[in-house]
Amino acid sequence: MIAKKVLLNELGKEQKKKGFVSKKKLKEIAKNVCLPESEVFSAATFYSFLSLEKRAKHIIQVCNCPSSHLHGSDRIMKYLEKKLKVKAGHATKNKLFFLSETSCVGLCDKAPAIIIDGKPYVKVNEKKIDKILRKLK
Amino acid sequence: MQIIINERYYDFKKGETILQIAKRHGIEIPTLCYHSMLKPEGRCRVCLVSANGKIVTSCDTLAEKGMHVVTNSKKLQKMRKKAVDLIASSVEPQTLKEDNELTRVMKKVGLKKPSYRHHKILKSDKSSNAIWRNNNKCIACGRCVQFCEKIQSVNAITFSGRGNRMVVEGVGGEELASTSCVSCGQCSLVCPTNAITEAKSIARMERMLRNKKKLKIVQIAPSVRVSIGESFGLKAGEIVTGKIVSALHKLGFDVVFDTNFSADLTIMEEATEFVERIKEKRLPLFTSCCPAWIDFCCEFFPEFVKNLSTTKSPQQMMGAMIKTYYAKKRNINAKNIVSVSIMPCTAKKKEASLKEMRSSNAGKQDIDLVLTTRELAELLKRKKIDLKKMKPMKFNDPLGESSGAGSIFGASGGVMEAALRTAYFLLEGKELKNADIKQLRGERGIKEFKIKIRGKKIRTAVAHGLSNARLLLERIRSGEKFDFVEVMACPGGCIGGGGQPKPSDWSVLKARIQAIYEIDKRKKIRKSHKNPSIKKVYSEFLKEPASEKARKLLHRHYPLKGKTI
Repeated sequence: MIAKKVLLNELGKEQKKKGFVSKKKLKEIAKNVCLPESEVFSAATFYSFLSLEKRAKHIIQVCNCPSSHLHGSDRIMKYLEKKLKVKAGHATKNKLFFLSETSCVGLCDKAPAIIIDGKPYVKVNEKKIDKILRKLK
Repeated sequence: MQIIINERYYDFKKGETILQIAKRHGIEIPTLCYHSMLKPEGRCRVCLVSANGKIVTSCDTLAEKGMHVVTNSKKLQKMRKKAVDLIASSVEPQTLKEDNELTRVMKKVGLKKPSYRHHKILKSDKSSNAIWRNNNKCIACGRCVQFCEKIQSVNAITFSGRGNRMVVEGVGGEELASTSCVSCGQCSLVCPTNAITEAKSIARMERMLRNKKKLKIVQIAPSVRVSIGESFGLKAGEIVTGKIVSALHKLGFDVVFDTNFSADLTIMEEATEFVERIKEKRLPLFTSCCPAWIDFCCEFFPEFVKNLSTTKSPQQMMGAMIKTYYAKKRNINAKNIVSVSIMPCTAKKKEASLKEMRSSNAGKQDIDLVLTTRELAELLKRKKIDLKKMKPMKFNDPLGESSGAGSIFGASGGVMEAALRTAYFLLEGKELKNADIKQLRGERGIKEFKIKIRGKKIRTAVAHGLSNARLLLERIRSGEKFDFVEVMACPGGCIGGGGQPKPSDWSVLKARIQAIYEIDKRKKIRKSHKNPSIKKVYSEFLKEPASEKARKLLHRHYPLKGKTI
């Protein structure tokens, strides 16, 4: 059980440092925490905050929990897709933005919520998004 | 302790689940992801029951004293139907037209057509020579992943992603061929929707059978004769040797040989090698009949590769003999022979395609095509040949006669028992009094046996299931001494192989094992070195065990690191 606790910590550290966890690093981590590589890979693909390849400079994640849904996270997602000209789960051509869904981020009381580069933005709407994106470019 | 199921009292022991108790007493609860050899995970939600008024999955809920269980209320039926409906909606429509566990469960709960359609469209994986995967048929029941991890300890496939995007993938998102997969095929054996199958060669087989110019030769592995009957409605462990032979003739094969013969040949070579190794003190010696085990050893324990016996597996020995000895005997060019083998195994498909297996110099593989037991059953059904109605026939000569030692290759411990019968004779100069070695039989994961030969203790061990093999190898690594070790990758040995008929659990495996030893018991000749056909082959062609010719045709090399392909 200890190994599994350490695992997420290790994966998180690498993600923060490099922005992704390479396959080589997966093998290394598996060896360090004494778990089979399959389990480490499974964990790394389970969490939307971890990725196996470099995604983009800025990562935009839209919460898809029921609470956000009721407050129009679908609309927000469509707006972002149109504005950035990408589909969810892909990066823009200039590798500036990566757009994806994420499971509940625990901000249900302030839905809809999005997370950009690890920083939460709550009660977002189209206007607010325009403002945030302008700053990022 | 007692539990109340559907208003009746039943006894149970502590630690039993509701499903286990119900099964024991013949109360039917439909299941889908549950497999008796694995730990229940409660993924599919088909085995729902109400326990003390609460709806729970019966596969992983432990029974309690005085618990009140209802298995078949209207509400439960409705919930089950919905659960199956959602699962059936998530697979490729083609899957629902086939006969598999999913469609059988659909019939049980009374679902004709799925109400939704949200199946994935993913690329199928045909990179491996032994196993194909089609993720569009997958219902994420997790049996294959658990089998690969817990019982085989290979960890080649795993779940990736989450929620409705969860799929079974090779580790690192790689194709199966580039993972640590050893091709044992246990995943294909437990898959309820045939999302994982053997690499299919039926179409190629049919094409070959139509070719009238070539001499078509087929061999049958020891464990096929006790299992193929299941596909035709016979009970597990029914011996149908003669019937398969005549069915194969009817399919269009000219000559039918017995892999039991080459198993005897393997024993001659392996026992001789063991005697040599005792003299050279290069011990322990590992058996080399199981290609999945060889891959496992090369991949995870490269330091033990030098301990692997260099003898080929019975399949490859027969292949080499057919295209050299038999071709010469019949005065026919080896290029005009099509050599097919019927195996209980998916890894044999890969073994047959190795570059190394071309010792007959015919420019092609020694074995042209490998069919699994399941595939042969499918082919026979396609051609409308009913195995049950066949008149028993005998194997062709000269590679058809076998001893009891060759026939027990199919069960775990069999190779060791057969090898000891001959090795004892080679070392001691006299026959082993009692040919049965009961200590090497049975379903324990690791079996150990000591025998005194020439005043010296020979320590042997047998493991089946690769996680048991891993345990045994760790013990050897940490200093424990063994002289002779047999490993079979699949639980129970070849009778539990990845290409065998479904469903497969311990009750089926036990019946097959019993049948294997029954065949041995019925044979007059029970030791490989007493088999007259073996003697003839050595006097006419190979000269003696481990002669130069035998080394060229019947032995192989191993890569020092990594898998064979």
